[in-house]
Amino acid sequence: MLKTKWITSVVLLSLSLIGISWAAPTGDVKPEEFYKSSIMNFTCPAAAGGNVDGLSRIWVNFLKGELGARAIVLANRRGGGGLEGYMYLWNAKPDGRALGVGLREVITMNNILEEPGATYKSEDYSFIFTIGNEPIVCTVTPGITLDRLKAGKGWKFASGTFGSSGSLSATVIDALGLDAKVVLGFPSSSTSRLSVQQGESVGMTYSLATALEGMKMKQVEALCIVGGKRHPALPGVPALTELATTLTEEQRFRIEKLWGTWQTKSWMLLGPPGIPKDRLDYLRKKAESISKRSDFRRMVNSAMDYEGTDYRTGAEIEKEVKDLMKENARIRRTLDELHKYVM
Amino acid sequence: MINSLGEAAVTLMDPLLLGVMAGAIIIGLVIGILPGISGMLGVALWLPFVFLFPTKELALAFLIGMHSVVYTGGAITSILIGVPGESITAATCLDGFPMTQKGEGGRALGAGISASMFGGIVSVLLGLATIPLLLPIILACKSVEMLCMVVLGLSCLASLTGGSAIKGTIAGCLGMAVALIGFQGATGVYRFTFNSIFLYEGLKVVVVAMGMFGLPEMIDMIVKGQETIAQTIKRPKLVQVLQGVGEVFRHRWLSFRCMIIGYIIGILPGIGGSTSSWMSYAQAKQTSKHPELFGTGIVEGVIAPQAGLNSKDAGDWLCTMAFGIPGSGVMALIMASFFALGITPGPSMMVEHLPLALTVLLAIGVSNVVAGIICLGTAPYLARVSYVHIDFLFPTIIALLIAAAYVSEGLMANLIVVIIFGGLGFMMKKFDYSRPAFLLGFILGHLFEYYLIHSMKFQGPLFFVSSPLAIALLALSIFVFALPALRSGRKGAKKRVELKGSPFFLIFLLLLMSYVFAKSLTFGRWEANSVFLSTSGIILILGAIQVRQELRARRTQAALQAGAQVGINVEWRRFGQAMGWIVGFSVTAYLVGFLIGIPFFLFSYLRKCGRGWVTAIICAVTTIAFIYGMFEVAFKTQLYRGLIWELSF
Repeated sequence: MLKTKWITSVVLLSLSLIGISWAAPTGDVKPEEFYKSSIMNFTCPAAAGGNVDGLSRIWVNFLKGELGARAIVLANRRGGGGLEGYMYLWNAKPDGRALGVGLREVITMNNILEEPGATYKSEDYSFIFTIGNEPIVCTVTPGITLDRLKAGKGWKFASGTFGSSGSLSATVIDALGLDAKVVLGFPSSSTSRLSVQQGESVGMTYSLATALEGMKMKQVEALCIVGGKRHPALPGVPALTELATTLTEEQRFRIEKLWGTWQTKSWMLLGPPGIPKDRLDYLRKKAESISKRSDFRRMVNSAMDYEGTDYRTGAEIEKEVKDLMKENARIRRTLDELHKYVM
Repeated sequence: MINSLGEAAVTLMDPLLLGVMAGAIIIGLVIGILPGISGMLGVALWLPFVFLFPTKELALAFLIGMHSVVYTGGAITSILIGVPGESITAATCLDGFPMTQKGEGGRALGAGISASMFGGIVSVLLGLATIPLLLPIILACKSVEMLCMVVLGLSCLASLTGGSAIKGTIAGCLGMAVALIGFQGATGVYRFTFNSIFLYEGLKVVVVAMGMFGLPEMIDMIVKGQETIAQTIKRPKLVQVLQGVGEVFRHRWLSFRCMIIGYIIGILPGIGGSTSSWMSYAQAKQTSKHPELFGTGIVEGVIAPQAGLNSKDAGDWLCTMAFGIPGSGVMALIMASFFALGITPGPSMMVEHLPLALTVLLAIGVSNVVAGIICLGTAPYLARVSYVHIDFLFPTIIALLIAAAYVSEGLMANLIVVIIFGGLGFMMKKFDYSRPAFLLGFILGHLFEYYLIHSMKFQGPLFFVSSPLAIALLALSIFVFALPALRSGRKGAKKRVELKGSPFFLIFLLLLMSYVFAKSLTFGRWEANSVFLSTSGIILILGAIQVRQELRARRTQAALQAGAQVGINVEWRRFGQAMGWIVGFSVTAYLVGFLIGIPFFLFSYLRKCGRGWVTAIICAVTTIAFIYGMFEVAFKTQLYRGLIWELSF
């Protein structure tokens, strides 16, 4: 009897909670009123701690103040290299209360390489704002010159997976005509860098922040920026297009468009597809206003280990992602060509 | 150097710095004690506080105080309740928990805590003495040498196989195969993920260890009808704790050997702390005059892993600071904070900032001493947990374990992992398959494959003869692997009579491995399938040999059944009931969240055990308050709110 009472109580409580949520009015309310005193949720596709989580918490703190929300609940959903978080955000209710961060090159590359489980469409997310436009840098053993690299044989580049640093290193090898192969499977930039220090590998290709870290410790030297132009953080380091003597149209597309523009490291503030236009515009306006604050920028620089962070609007990043995904098939073909450099 | 040491010592005597360190030590101990909050997660969550300190020295004191004592804290839950507080303190459970069951929890704590403490101090001295040698050693240990180190670690499996070498090897190979589930970066192949996003990154050792070691002990107590962990009426006293401290001095050569092993593992990036504790345990067993007593609750089995664990810290810190080579994920995180503090790790640090570097080293020693004193002082009170009635202990530990499994990654799917491995761990314990061997295989399986692939790619197929160090390590591995067999051969070992086997469990394993073998052939590339093929192949061959033994064991068990105090059917019924409660609680937590699920579970279980309403309510409220306070307030990790809440939201 008591057991039955307990079970009945729990079931009734659950049903009423569901009922309340469905019955709650979401009709034509101005965005300012909609967000005031609302409860939002924020998805971070990485574990607690670390710079992604740090950035997420910064967004949560500032958005709560700007929007006047009652609470923004941060949830770390890190399974599948962040895929769990991206899928959760993709399937969330598009009323503007569910937001999250996502790394542009991971979200788009999952689609391009047709990773199992990545059933979202990158270009259909609601783009609110973007932090970062970090270029990719190829670093090598200190003291080794480009001439020596070109003259030598059997070089190896340490990389993570093919979809990220692997194809980047392969792009450099391909553009410079090196007799080299990419060794995949290094779990982190630290292990790749150790391999370079030990002399097993000659180079690695990772983000600018990672390169700067290794250069400060004199473990590696920058060979080139993987792109079509130099970067203010490393003014003495040439772009890959400067070092390569001849480039085909496809190689140029890969270097300047794919890696140099579309796949630089950028942290997007996102929502699920279908957020009402007035709320999306409101969120974009608020995010842009937050990004101009000096305290926000100071905290972001600290969280991202990198001082020269770029900031771009939701409309800008939306265009970039859409342009990138229009070339999906071409990118897939061009990446397939690079497989020959993988050991 | 002497001047810099003096400067470092003076810096450490600053009362403000000592105060910051003391606070950080408390946080570090709590991180260690709480299952689910791994050292890495705990450090990551508190890392932002580092930037609040006005000076680098204070910030580093906070980091060191927090990190250096995590394994000391982890030993406490490993010893008292058989749940590894940190995945790398799982080895301490093997003898620590049985000692608690024998009423020697105080002695075990005294031995474990002081072994940790002295391990930390000795590692600092070793660090100071070996600074000039470290970088050449690290740079010399490339893929091939690291592979041979891993093989040496795997050879310790021979000492961890328990009663049956065949069953132990099966367990080790099973662990290696399970470790490789997930996406393989080297090839892009998804292995045994069944299109589940959750499995893409594989299974995490902290969750597997909690399931494999934590759950079976609690379930076993229910199955055997035990009322408390400790089976004696002796209440723990400080004198027992001090006896434990004395044991570390009595076994000083064992302690020192394990500290050396731990220190060497610490300076080699990528091997991991678990390896140092298991290798220390294995060598302690191999060199003992009574290896058969390991696992039954002897103090050497506690001293060895704890001494090995903490002694890796100084080497780890030194390599990170002095060479910018982080030995582990948590050190990579700490290294990132160095940059943020304006400190550039690397050889220049040992030249331009030598006093700061030495302050770090000395602070590790001081942290370990302070943590040791705190833990030893509170040990007699902590040890009283072993006298709490199972009616209260079972639901509390299960609630903590299940919540911790969720918090470790913020994924409810980890509850399924804990339950599956809890069930598997119970079966392995019951049918005499070595869980330590499984866990060692699990820890080293991934490393073995990783270094094997890189050895082949960087050195070619004859990699194993490519360097003298590699040849020496391989020779040592063969010796270590053969040692238990050589010793039992010399003593004239009696033929082992299988008593605990189950042919059904073994046949299930063989069917599973047949599937694994067949499926592995479809992966296409040797990098993706070679380890799966070898481990499943070994299990199939050894399993076929073992099946006969298992069938004989079944007949022997049936003959013994009549005389058993607790019949086999009663045992399985109690096992089913215990698992039913665990699964029921997990489902409830999934539906309505932990904040409702935990008190509901505690209340229901205690009422079912016949406890009064007031007692049940007080326990339920206290437990949820503790779990909420620890996870959400102290560590800012959110407990799952439930499917119903998520759908409503």
